[in-house]
Amino acid sequence: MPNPIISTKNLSVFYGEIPAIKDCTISFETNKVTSIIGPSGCGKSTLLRTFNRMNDFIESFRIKGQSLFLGENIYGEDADPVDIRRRIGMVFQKPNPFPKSIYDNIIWGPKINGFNGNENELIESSLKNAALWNEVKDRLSDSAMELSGGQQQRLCIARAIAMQPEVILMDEPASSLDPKSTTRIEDLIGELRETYTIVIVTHNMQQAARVSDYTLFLYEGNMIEYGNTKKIFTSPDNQQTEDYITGRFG
Amino acid sequence: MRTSNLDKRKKQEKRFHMLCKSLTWMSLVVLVILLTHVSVEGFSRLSLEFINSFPSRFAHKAGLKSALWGSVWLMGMVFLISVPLGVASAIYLEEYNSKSKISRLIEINISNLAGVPSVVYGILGLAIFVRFFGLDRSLLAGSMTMSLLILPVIIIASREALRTIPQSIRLGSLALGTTTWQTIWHHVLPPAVPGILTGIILAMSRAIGETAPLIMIGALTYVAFLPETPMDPFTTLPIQIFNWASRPQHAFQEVAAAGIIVLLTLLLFMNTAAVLIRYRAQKKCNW
Repeated sequence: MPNPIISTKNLSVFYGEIPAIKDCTISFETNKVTSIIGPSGCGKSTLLRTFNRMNDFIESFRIKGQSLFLGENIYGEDADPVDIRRRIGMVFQKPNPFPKSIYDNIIWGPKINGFNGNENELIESSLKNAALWNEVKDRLSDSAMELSGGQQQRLCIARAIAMQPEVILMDEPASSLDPKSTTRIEDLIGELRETYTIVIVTHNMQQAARVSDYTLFLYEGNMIEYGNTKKIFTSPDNQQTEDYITGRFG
Repeated sequence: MRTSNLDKRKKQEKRFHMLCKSLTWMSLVVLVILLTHVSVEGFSRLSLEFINSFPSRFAHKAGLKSALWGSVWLMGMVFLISVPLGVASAIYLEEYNSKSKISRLIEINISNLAGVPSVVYGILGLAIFVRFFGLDRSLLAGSMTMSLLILPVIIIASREALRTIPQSIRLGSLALGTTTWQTIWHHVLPPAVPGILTGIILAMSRAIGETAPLIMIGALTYVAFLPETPMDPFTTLPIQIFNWASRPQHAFQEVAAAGIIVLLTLLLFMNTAAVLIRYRAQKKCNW
């Protein structure tokens, strides 16, 4: 990988005694979309969450090895989870806008982090980047809870973008949405790859094939195959990968 | 198609409906009888003069000025002591340390403390605040004892309120690079405040009616002056009412009834406030 932004080195993750990720060494390239696929419970989300320390809130969580952001250990002693989360944004499985106005949803994060530029400009550019501007530009002061599920999810993407992160992690961002909203989110990911590095977890293989440049196949916490999406989906090296993407298990 | 036992099930349904209805009305009737009795007895004694005079050994002159102000002082101080302690404990236990074993142990203990008889708190207050800290029978000793009594209630209610905030909101906020405190302050506390306030008001309603712990720490029954500092001795409404009600003369029974009306009115105001706060909050917040 010529230009990695996040990577892991012999990373193992445990919940209590149960291993969720086993000895994983991998790196993700800058300004590309990488998707993580695999059956339920294979550790996709766990791996994703080691990049912005969202696992910290799980009591039995334990980590071995390293998870690196621009070469710095994310779990190092002088690493600050708050700062890491500012630079590595996240979009969750279920849309989780704050019960505030659309405007406040976007501006709150930057404001808390000391933003003092032009708020309206930031709102407009974030919403435009999230392909939501045209639908909400006349009702920015309305509650975000009044938006549809797909709109809420794009608002959450806009909220993440407004922080101007270096990486956006997406944890099955379209799994709770209808097909039309899903298409919009996928198109959006295609546009965002120009500016951001995106790591997306998905259980939808067609989605991985459509949106990503690289694909990682995880199975029971093991890294089975990682490489160019086209190659993984047309001529995978590994038999398990082939079985999974052709729908023979999972 | 009708199933064979539909008629039977419908009858059952009707019987259960009637049972619930009659039991509800029964308790309401008892309450109404009680209130009517008290009102009839005490109404004639109710006047501004009653509220504005000190107790007296003559029933027609007796008033509850010192008791009313004692209660107001006590409630104010209990509020100042128990609310910061209770809410902060709830936030710590629920938001900062919700998963640890110690926190779980504390949780069990708090639930048990909420069920401890109030007189036990009185004994504790007597031993610690009155004797050990030498606070004597002051308002401060009384309000600290009373705060101990309602702290578990406030902590439990506040934790319940915090627990209703979905975890996804916390994670969404933290993922934007905010500290736990910023997340709590901006996204967890505001929607939880109505629930917390309701809990506080209900706890205060309990405190205003408590007598046993205050008698235990030696609050006076005859006070012919108003407390001016937290170190002054005091009396409260329920103590004064108890004192009047235990006298043999019928005239004092009327005075006691009038005192009960004042106490109930105060309680009614507090509970109404609780309901209003909850109602307003429900309208504002939905996810």
